[in-house]
Parts: sequence; C-alpha cells; structure tokens
Amino acid sequence: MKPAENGLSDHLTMHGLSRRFGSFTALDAVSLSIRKGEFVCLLGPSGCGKTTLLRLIAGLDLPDAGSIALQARDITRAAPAQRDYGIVFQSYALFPNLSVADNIAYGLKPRHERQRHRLRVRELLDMVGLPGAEDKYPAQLSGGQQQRVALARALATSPGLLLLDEPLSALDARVRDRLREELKGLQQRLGVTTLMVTHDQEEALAIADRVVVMNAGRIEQIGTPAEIYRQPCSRFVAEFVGEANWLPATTSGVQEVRVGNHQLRLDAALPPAPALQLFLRPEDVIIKPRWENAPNTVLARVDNISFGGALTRIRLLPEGMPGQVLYAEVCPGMLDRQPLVPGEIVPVELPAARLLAFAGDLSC
Amino acid sequence: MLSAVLRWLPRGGQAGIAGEARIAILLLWALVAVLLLGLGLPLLFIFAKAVQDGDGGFVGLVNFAQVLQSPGLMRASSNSLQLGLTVTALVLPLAFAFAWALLRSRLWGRGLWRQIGLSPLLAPSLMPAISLVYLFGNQGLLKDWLHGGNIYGFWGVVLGELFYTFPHALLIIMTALSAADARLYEAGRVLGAGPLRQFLTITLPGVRYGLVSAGLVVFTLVLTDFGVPKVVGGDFNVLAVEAFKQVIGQQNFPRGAVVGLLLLLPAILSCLVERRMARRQQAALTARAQPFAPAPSWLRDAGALLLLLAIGLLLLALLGVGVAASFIKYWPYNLDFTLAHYQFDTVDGGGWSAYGNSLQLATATAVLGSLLVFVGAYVCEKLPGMALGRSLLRFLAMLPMAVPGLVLGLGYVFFFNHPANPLHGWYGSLGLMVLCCIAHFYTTAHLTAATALKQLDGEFEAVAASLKVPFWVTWWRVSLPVCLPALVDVARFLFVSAMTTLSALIFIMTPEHSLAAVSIITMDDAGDTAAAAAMATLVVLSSAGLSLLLSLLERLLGRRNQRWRKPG
Repeated sequence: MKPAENGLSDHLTMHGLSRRFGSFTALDAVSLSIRKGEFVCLLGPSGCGKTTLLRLIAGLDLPDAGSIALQARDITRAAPAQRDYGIVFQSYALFPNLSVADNIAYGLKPRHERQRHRLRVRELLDMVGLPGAEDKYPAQLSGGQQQRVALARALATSPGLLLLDEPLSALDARVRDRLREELKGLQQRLGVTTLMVTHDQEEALAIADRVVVMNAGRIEQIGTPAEIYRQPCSRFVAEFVGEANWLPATTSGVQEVRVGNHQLRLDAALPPAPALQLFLRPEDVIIKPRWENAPNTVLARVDNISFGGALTRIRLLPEGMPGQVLYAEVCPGMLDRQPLVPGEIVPVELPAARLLAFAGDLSC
Repeated sequence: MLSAVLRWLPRGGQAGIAGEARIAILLLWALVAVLLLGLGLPLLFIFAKAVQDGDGGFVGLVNFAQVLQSPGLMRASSNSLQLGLTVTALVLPLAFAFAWALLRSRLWGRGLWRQIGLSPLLAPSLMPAISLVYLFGNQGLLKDWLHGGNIYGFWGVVLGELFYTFPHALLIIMTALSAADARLYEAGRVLGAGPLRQFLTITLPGVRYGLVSAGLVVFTLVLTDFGVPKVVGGDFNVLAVEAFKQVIGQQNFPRGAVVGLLLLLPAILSCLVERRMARRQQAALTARAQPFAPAPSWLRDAGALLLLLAIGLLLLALLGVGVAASFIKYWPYNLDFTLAHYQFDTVDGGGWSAYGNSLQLATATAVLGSLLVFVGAYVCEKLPGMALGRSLLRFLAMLPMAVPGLVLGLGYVFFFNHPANPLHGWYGSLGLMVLCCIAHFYTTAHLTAATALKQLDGEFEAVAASLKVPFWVTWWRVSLPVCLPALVDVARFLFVSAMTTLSALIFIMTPEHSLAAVSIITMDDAGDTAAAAAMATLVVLSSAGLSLLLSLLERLLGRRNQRWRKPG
C-alpha cells in the first residue's frame, strides 16, 4: 500500500533547512516531505546531520534558515509543546522515580482523571506487549522492555507524528530484530506518521517505507529500500548501503568501459568522466557452469570459499585484471549442483543490467 | 508556591505554552536580580567606596596611598601573609597524611575517623581559639609547657587556624586521592616499582591538582578569618581584624573598603590559578578505570592508625576542651560540673535570644537557600535557550567562591547602610542576614545541585516538552525527587555554615538581632570566656544535631525510594 496512491497529503514538509554550529555546517539546505502514515528512515554515518534534522523537527533546536510545516501549519519556530509529536530517544529517558504507569500517563490530561488514565495505560501496555507492568519501575525492566515503555509513553497522547532517535541501537542484536518487526507492525496498525533516525543501514532497509540517505548535512538520495539498494544514485550511497565490488574502469564507448584488458557493456548511462568505478553487488555476480563466449563474461580463479549461513562467499581473482578481487555470493544450494574448488578457473558473468558506473579514481 | 503559579496559568492551549516560556524567562531574571542584590551590587559598592572620601566625593587612589603609607596596616598585611603561608605549609601535609590513612589503608572504623577529621566544620572558628585559651592561656591547664611563653600571638593563631582550615583541606585532598586508578598501581608493581617509587610517581602526581587547590583554599580562608586572631591574636594584628576595626570601630569606610579589596586579591588570584590548572588537568578517571583497593598490610595499617590517632586526638582536644570547660565551674581551680555558664543572664551578647536568632537564621538559610539554589541550578542546566541570562546566572553563582565573607560583609555595610538606598530599613534585619548567608555560600551549594542535575538524562525535558508538560511539573515530579540526596546535602551545608559563620554577618548584625557566633566574640571580649565556650558548644551541638537528623531523614527517605533505585 503506497500512501501516495491513496491521495493522502504531505504530513510533514521541510524546506531549505540549514543549521550551522560555528564553522561546522550540520545541515545544508535540506528539503523533504513525509506523507501521512508513512514510515521514513533518516540514514547516514554519525555527523551527517540526521539527528540535527530530527531535533529541528522536534523543536529542540532552531534552524538558521528554512521552514518546517506540520499539516500545512508553519511550526519552524514553535515551542516543542506547540507541535504535535511523540518522541523516543536512544536513552529512552524514562523518569526513574516514576512507575511504568506514571511514566506512560505523564502527558495525559487532565491530571486528576486517574481512572481514565489507568484504562489508557493498560491499553497502551497491551499494545506494546507488556501487559501488567504498571507498577514496576524503569530500573526493574530490561532494555527492550524500557524501550517498549518509552514507545507507549510517546504514543499515549495519540500524536500525529512519531519521532524515533536511534531507538534500537542500545539493544542486543536478537532483541533488536524482534522489536524492529513489532515497531513496524504497530506503526502500520496505528497509521502514525513516523520518522526514525538510524545509522544502521540494515535496520533502515528492513523497516522503512522510504529511506533518506544523508551525508555531510545534505540528502544524498530518497527512495524505497529497494531503490536505495538497487539503484544508488551516488557513490556515497552505493558504498554506505550494503556491500559491493568496485572495479576501476575507463570509458571506451557510449555504454562500454574497459576494465584491465576486458571490454564490459552497461545498460545504465555512463557519467561524463574518463576514470570510472564500476559497482556490482556480490550476489549479482553469476558463476556459470561452463564457458560460452558471451558479453561481459570473464574467466576467474577461485581463491577462497567461506561459508556464511544463507549465502556462501567466494573470493575470485579475474584474469586480465591484475590485483583485482571480485566477491561473489551464492546460495549453498547452487554449490551442491556445481561444486567449486579453490584454484579452479570458472567463467563469471558481470551482468550488464546490474553494473553501475560512478565517476572517480580509487575506491575506498 | 509552585501550585499558586500553576493555578494562575490557563490550562493547555497556546496561551499556556507561551506562558511557559515567559515564566522561564521571568524566573531566570528574578534569580539574577536576587544574586545581583545580594552579591553584585554590594561588591560594586566596595569598589566605589575605595575611591571616595568620607563624604562620598571622588578622590581617586588617595585611600590606597594612605593605606600603603600607614605602618600599622602594612604590618597587618605582612602578618596576614606570613600567617597564611605558615598555616598552608603546615595543614597540607597533615591533611594529606590524614586523607592517605583514611583512603589507602584497611583500618576498621574509617567512617568514624572521617567524621572526626571533618568535625571542625561544625564549630565556629572561635572554638579552637577558646580551647587554646583554656589550655595555654594565662590560667591554662598546660601553661607550664610553654616555659613562660604566651599563647597569645602568632603561634596561637597558627594553631587555631590549623584546626579551622583542616577539614576544608581534607575534603579536597580526599576527593583527589579517591580518584585513583588501580591499573596504574598494578602496572607500577609489575614493572618493579617499590612502595616509595609508586608513591612518588603515581600517588603524588595524581593529587597534585588537589594539593594546590587545597593550598589556595586554606590560604584564602586564613587571610580572611577573623575569629581566631580576634581571640588569641593578642598584639599580633592581621588584616581581617584591621578591616573590622576600621569600619565598625572607627567608621572609616573608605579605608575599610581598601582593606577589603586587599583581602579580595588572594581569592581572585586563587581563582585564576585554579582555572589555569583545571584547563591543563586531564580527566583523572576515565570510564575504564578500576577503583583502587589497598592490599592487606598490617605495617601500613599500623602507621595509618598512628597518624589518625595523633591528628584526630589533637582535633578532638581543640574541640573538646572548649565543650568540657563550658560545663566546669571555675577552670582550672574548681572542676565541678555546672550548667551555670548556659544561663547567659549576667553577660552581654544576647544570650539565648542570640542563639534563637542563629537557629532562625540557619533554618531560613537552609530552607530558602536550597530552594533558590535548586531552581537556579535547574534553570542553568536544563532549560533551553536564554543563553545570555543563563551565563550571567552561572557567573553570579560562581562569584561567591572568590569573595571572602569579610569582603561581602563590608559590601553589605556600604550598600544597604547607604542612606539613599530604599532598602536601608532592611539593614540589620534577619531577612538581610539570610540573603547574605545564601549569597556567601552560594557557589558550593550551586555546584552540588548542578552536579546532581547533570547526572540526570538531558532528554527528560525534551520528552516532557513533547508531551506538553511544562518544565515546572517535571522539576517537581522528577528532578527534585531524584536529586533528593543532593538537596539534603545542600540544606545541611547551608544550615551548618549559617550557624557557624562570623565573617560576613558581624558587619550587618545589630545588637537587637545578635547572633550566637557574634555573641561568642562579645562575651570573650568582656572576659566571660566560660559563657563564650558555652555558646560555642551550643553552636557545635546544633550543627551536629541537625546533621544527624538529616542523615536519619535521608535514610528514611532512602528506604522509601529504594523501590525505584534498586533493580529487581
């Protein structure tokens, strides 16, 4: 279900937001729109400006330039309480001296309607999967449970917008995976517009409807997880998201490049630069059962095979490309049909449909 | 007070939210105004007075020249300097030895020894002076030890000041010593360093900063203390007493102001040195440091016990002789028990009403002061924006550290006793004395509160704002309860300080509103040493009593709070 197709309008719009701290530009003219009910992830390395952007939206910091509108109402300079959002921080910021119930009811008004609050708290605790935890204190809960309480507290007042600042980063891997799924399910059920900041690209791709990749205060790319992964529009996105092979190349035709002494064809257009870097995901490298003289096919020596559970990783040394290493990832099932031995020479196809070219010299 | 503010505000909606920001600004500037009134303006008036003649005309630096040409004042300055250096040189090794014995041994009862080491804090600086008079004065118990010498003079003052400054040095050095990283000692041992080499290359460098900072604090305290030289100084004149004589005795305000500025110098100098050092000092303890635990060694523990016994008994003697003498009929000829000295009927100084005033003052200072300090620290640490006001508030909060009580008292005389001041009528009242005490002890209290608040998650306020809960509700429901132990500490500190302090208040009290610590001076001046000892004992007992009461209260509250403090 794509919200845009339902004709739903933009819930949150940012236009030309900039924020400088001294000589450091944390945010440089960032514009972004988030549709109602959408789950958007801000993804990027630390210092890329994603947290600054979240703080501007929350009203915890003010922009030097630009504007923010929530449901078509300008909130650029409004106090946090004049906006309509709930927030969950990485530290959860649960009030340690208040019980779980008091934490969740903290924002419920008016204060004296205890009975009504009790029902609402019970409803929220059921929703986040912690029934009966009302009388516990935060120190008595595990990290994952604290995270659920913080989420319940943020949702208690039924805000139109949910802001999540690295909410899963402080948890261990197993809890994180489970909570990620639950968070997504809850968000879809409630239909609350959600903006989450994360530096974990796997998490962003798994949970978001749309991912916003940020770097050095700018937005590099906005797209669905598949678009970000399959068609990274800049070298930065390609390097930051997922793993990739990088092959130095030179332009030799309209859609043809030279790598070592091989000629490769690309379906995508080439950037206007003499020196290129070719990009190819390891799972897109095809190891063929036998040699045939097809385009984009080279011979490579199997250097190493390492087992990795769902995928087996093969380190290849392509002939005619001195010093170049090529990684391929294949299902173990394929290896059952076509066993590989280190030292063996195999034909390898680098599919023209999957190859992308970026301008630049050396890869990282 | 809070709920009253709450009721005024319209609930929710735009008006309430705009009101929240307005209240924050109002609160901030109200606090700044209080501190300006109690601290900034009086200090400015000292500077103004120092360049005026007796009638208020501007005379430039004439007063300074006069002071420099006055042989009496110059002798007092050199005496003060000599005294400060001697006491600092003696108290640092003593306090260091005591702190080392407490923290680096495995002796039983270290908590008790710690309390003994800090016990001088409970007494006014007059207490050791009175004890010294009882021990070595003209009718002293141990007068023979002096072989015809006299306790009144330089060495008498040194001894009294040693007692008075010891706990201050001890606290700072203990903090420095307790920040020890066991990994450094392990590395030293593995590399073959003996105990002496470990001490010289690890322990001493680690506390260098603490030693210097303790030295600066002691030096400033000695220079500006007034009680000890007044009682056992004899002919040995010091600047602090001189300032008092000029202002209260001779009503020579301009010269008093110059002397006050002279006394401000060492404190300002210490502040500058401390700031420079703090910048160079790296964090002594990183997050990965292992706490140091001393290995068993009976030889070291025996040495430590000897040290604690020697210093502790000396401290107890200087505290205890005064207390004991207050219950004795006629020292040293008739040692029968009596409560007669506690009647105060036949002596000057205000007697029980002075004690009552002191109790009121200390209670009001503790209650109002801790409230003010906690609101101020919260505004400084937790509220967003208002950068200018907040840095002004922070500066004013740190300023009292550099202002000796004596100087502050002088400022109060010049500012509040000025005939043109609309608050002139306030002069000499209990309210003004409370303001003076709060201002005088503000820095330590503020730092305690700010440190506690800084340990709270910085995002509490952000979460509360997102839930549309105003900041004062969060202050009341979360910050204050979580910081309760620090709040109790601040209240205890303010109470004991207000009970024992003399230096600032002696300038602004009037005979109608006498205070316990001041009446000790009056009684001692009149030769009623036993009554003075009785009053000093009352002060010690009240301070100790309240400390005990608050400890009990803390334990009680702690039990109630255990539910959320303890996991599981």
